[in-house]
Amino acid sequence: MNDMKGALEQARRDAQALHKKAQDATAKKHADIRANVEKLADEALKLQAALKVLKLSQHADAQQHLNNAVNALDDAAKNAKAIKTANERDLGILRAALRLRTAIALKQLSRALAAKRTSVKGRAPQFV
Amino acid sequence: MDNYVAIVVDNDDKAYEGLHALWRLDDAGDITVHGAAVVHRDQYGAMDVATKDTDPGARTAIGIGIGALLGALAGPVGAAAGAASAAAVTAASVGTAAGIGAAAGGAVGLTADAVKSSEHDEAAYETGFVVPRGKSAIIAEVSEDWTTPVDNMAKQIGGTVYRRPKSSILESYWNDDDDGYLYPYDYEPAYA
Repeated sequence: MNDMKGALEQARRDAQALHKKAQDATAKKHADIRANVEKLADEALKLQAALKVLKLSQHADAQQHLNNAVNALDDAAKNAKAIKTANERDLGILRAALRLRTAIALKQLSRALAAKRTSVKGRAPQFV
Repeated sequence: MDNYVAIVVDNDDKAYEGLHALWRLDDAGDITVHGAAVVHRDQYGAMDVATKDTDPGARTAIGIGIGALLGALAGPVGAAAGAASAAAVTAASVGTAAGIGAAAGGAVGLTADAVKSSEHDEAAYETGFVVPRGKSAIIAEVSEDWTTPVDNMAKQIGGTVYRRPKSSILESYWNDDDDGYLYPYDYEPAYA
């Protein structure tokens, strides 16, 4: 496994961890949700920054997926920050949006990884 | 190539084994798993999704998506029947947020929230093409350069593989914008 492939796989593991945290944090009582989202926003932005660097070394297909992941993480961070001060009516919508954005970011990273793996030639015959 | 796969096995234990084996194939780089879940169809035809989530709302959302996917995996007949017949169920029970793409098997997810038995029957009709009564299945979205790794794994656990290209499902019955239907990482399944 070369370093770049490893970096992408590590980024997906980080996104999986972020997704789990978002799921867990938003399943709690409203007061607990507000207390936990600020850290989530920071983690989303940290991962976003890492992806911006990582995408520079990827080929076009993976880059597009990473761009999408960067955008989704930006939205997730905004959702998380908005939750902090949201009223009860908006909290449910923002909670769902946060879950969705982290899921989209993760899926896009997963697709980037698949593109990267496919680009590694000679691993396997192409039967499909 | 991006595919949706269903691996039908005899029981829950085999399904859990298959779920973890699928993620091990991902770890090895043989395939890339974008999401996976375990479902079970009981002897009466009702479907349940094995979930780790304790949030009833999330559980329903996951079920709706998997139901739609099972309908799509059943092929055009199953998906079309579901889209036509379950639309009313979706509108009445799920609300407008659930699109027509979820209608094919939308009632499946609602089993977790105890809807009417007639809707259970409809869901059973939809998914019976893929998951026989009393059987379990691993449902997954994967990128695979060749089918051998998944096929071999399924063979080892005595499973039958159903596979459809993602592109063929997207065209008509599946909405890729929806998310959260399949768990994007390995988990310990438990039936709600």
